[in-house]
Amino acid sequence: MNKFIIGISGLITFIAIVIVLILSLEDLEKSSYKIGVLMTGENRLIKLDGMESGLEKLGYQLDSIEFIVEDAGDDVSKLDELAQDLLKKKPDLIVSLGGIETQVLEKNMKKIQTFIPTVFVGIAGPYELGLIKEYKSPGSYFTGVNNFHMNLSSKRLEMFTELVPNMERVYVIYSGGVDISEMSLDIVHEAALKMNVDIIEVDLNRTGALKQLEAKLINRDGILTLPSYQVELVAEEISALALRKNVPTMGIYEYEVEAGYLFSYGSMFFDQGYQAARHVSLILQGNEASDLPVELPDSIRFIINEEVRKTLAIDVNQDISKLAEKYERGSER
Amino acid sequence: MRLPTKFRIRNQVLVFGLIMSTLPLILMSTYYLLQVKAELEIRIDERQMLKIENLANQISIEMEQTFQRMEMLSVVYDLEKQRGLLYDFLRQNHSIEEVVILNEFGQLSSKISRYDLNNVEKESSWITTGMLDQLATTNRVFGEVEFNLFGQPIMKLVTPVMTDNRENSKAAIGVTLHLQKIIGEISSYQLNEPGYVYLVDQKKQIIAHQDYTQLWSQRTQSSSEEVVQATTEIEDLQWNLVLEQTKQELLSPMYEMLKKGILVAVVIILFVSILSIYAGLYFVKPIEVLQRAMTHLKKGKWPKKVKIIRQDELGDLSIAFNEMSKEIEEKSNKLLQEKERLDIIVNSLRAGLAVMRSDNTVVWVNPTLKEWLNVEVGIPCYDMFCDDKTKCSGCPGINEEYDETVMKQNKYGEKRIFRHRVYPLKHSSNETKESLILIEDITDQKEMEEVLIQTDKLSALGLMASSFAHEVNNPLATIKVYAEDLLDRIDEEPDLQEQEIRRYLKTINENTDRCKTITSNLLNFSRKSDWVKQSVDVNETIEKSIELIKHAITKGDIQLQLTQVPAVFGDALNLMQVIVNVVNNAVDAIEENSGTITIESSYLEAEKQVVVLIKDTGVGIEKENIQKVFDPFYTSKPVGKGTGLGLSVCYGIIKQFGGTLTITSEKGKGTVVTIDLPVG
Repeated sequence: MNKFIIGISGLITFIAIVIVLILSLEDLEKSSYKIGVLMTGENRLIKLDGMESGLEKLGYQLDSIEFIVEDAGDDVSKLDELAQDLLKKKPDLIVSLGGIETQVLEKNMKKIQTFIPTVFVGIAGPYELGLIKEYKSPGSYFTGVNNFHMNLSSKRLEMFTELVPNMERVYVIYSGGVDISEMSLDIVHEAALKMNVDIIEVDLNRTGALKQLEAKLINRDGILTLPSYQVELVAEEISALALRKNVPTMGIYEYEVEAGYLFSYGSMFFDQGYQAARHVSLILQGNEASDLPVELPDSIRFIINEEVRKTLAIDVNQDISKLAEKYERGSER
Repeated sequence: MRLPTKFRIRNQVLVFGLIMSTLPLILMSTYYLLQVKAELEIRIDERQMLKIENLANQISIEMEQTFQRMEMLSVVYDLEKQRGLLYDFLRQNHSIEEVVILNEFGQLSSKISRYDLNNVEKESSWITTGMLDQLATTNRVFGEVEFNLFGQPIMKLVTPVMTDNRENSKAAIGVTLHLQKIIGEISSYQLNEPGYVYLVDQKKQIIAHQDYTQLWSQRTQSSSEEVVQATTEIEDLQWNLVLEQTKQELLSPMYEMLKKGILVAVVIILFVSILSIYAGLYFVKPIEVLQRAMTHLKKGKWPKKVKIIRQDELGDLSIAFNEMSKEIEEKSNKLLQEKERLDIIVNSLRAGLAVMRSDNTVVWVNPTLKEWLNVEVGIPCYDMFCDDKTKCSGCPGINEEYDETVMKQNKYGEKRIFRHRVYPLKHSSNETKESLILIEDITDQKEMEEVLIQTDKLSALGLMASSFAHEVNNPLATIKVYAEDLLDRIDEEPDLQEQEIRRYLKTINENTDRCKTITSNLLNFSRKSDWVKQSVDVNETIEKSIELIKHAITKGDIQLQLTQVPAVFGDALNLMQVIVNVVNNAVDAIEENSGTITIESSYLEAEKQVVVLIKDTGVGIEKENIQKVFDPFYTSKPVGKGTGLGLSVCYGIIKQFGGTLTITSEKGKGTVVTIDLPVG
């Protein structure tokens, strides 16, 4: 009887070992990726959502990816420290969710001589910022999606003036000291010259800039905002100011239209993240970041806030309106 | 002797267990692997084609839709004033960077751009000459893949304007298409198996590839035979979409499965091996116990009883072994006793014994033979007697019995007579036939026989003495009478005639010859001679024998019925002694001169034997005494009438001839003595 029990126990143990062995092999097969994420604040999370959707669309199981998220909580001064922490954790690659994050990462990589492939998600002018050598073959540890917002500044000025034909002056809000913002201003100046449009610079970093702007605004003026994380942070203030002064505002992002801008023309956060998932995938599959071309956005969206238009009682150019998506409260994407 | 490890049954059981646990697995896996491989290749080919056709279709559809929309625009009258349609067109396809209107010379007339300012330098060139030429013959013109200022791959598509008043309208509508989405989607396409999907334009330039180091390079034919390609053409664009995978990669799921299978098989084999070891030990342990006991047995050590631990066949085997061991022990002890007895007998026997094999090699000798002839084991048998290096002449070989008398010097230089006999051993093996050689020193026996024969002769002579004397006296008396008478007559008759004297002398001479013959016969008979083997005329010998004793025969009538018989080989004098002896016995058996003695000789052709019958009509012999008549010193005659040696000596002599002597007798009717003598 004892022998029988020992025999049965041995057999069960053997079967259990085989099953455990097979299951452990299955587990080994699952690749586990570690992706570091650096962002200035919560408003960038939508880019991360877009990236996750993109990765899922490309066939990745999100539970097989570990995201190490370093969030500065809208305090840019913390980015240095967070970038260093992230580099120490040596993820397989880093996703930087904006221009300032990418610049901080580059600085810290050089400082500690630790280079990890980085995909930037929506950065305006990576070449101009010196992050890449060229768009086609970046030649560095950085690649990703150029949101084109710097270059798109001239197009937005053109569209703004064509959309509101009776507009006489355009106030251009930018961030002094923010490279992209200043470079965008240069482009706007150049375009204004070509189009013979009067523009007035407003440096957000000047004390009381918005108050001064509000004081100056009159009917037939318009506000154009340029790329800058600082400008993005005060979108609601600008919107309120414009509405108070009954002037239209041209921004970049959908959330700005939602906040009360009349128009936005640019690549959306979600779309940028979704598109950058391709770069992430290609690097995880063994490509070098230096070989992956920096891409322009797959889609540029033009959005009109119908409520604001009605409030401002502006008749917009119907031809260009054909390109637009109409924003109405409750119709968020 | 301990078996080499590989031959031990335990290891054999283990090896067998391992082979039986691995071989079926290997065979099954190989079969399954081959089947799966073939099936997998087919399925992968089909799946590959399906994937790239799906991708290619997406590109084709996108291009088709773009062209359809362009063609819809192309029919709009005065399109430059209908800019809303152009914006709407842009909204419908996010990959279009700009839509342009060209004049009939292909120069840019107006533009709606998604990124740039819409202002254009009038009459600037937008399309290549080649595209313009194509536009004259086809409604859909594809440009080559090129790069914009931002290094982005773009392609221009052009379709002619189809309005009625074409001469007043612009010649064509063009779009600049961003390819990065197409490239990105192909490049990041997730393959379930390792491999590459890439897109090649009409100039064989790779415009999309999962390995970005390959991007924008010229497509080269893969030189590796192990690469499997699935290619589909996007017809309008003349692009090729290729899915390339190495066989190794294609079959990697199978290899992965194989790897797992091997791991599981190893675990199974380990498990089965443990079972094999257990089974090996379980089944083999009793066998090993038996083997150890057997080894003890082989060495002559009687093992203790093997413990019976099983109730199966192996248990029965152990019981059988114990019984066998006990039986062998008993028989071995008996054998030892027998051997001891035999050794004593053989060693004390005054006869030489040897065993020889079919190649005449002596393999065993007893001490007696060794002492007599200084024989050693290993020498050929003919060395013992012939002192030669070849077989003795007349050697019948090992399979036949052999009996002869040979003379040889012993180690002291004495000439000795040996009887050499050979007996084939029936139970020797076929490969090593053996015979027993029996050597007897019969020198003393021979000398004794000679003495007996001589004694018998002298006895016969003694018996015949009075008749011999009487036989000699008669001629001597005659001689005396004639001699005295002659002397008297010479004295008395001086003129005695010579003729008369001659007659007297002749008579004296004849009687002297007669005496000489008698004494000569006596001398011959009494002579002690060595056995001389010669041709013997049997009838003549019979007649001489009768001649010798006829004067002693005082009773009975002797009749000779002799027929012509061939000569036999032996000593004639000894044969004469036999006949004299037998006839004398016959005479003694006859009572009061009333009997008959008949001597017959005949030849049996078939047996090649000369037969001599000596019959008498005498008193016969008691039945119970017949078997005693050949015993030495047995006699039925009164004291002084016989020595009792006669028939035993006769028997020995006839045996020496190689013949037989037999006696049949019936009390009161007579006796028949049969002497068979071989011819040749």
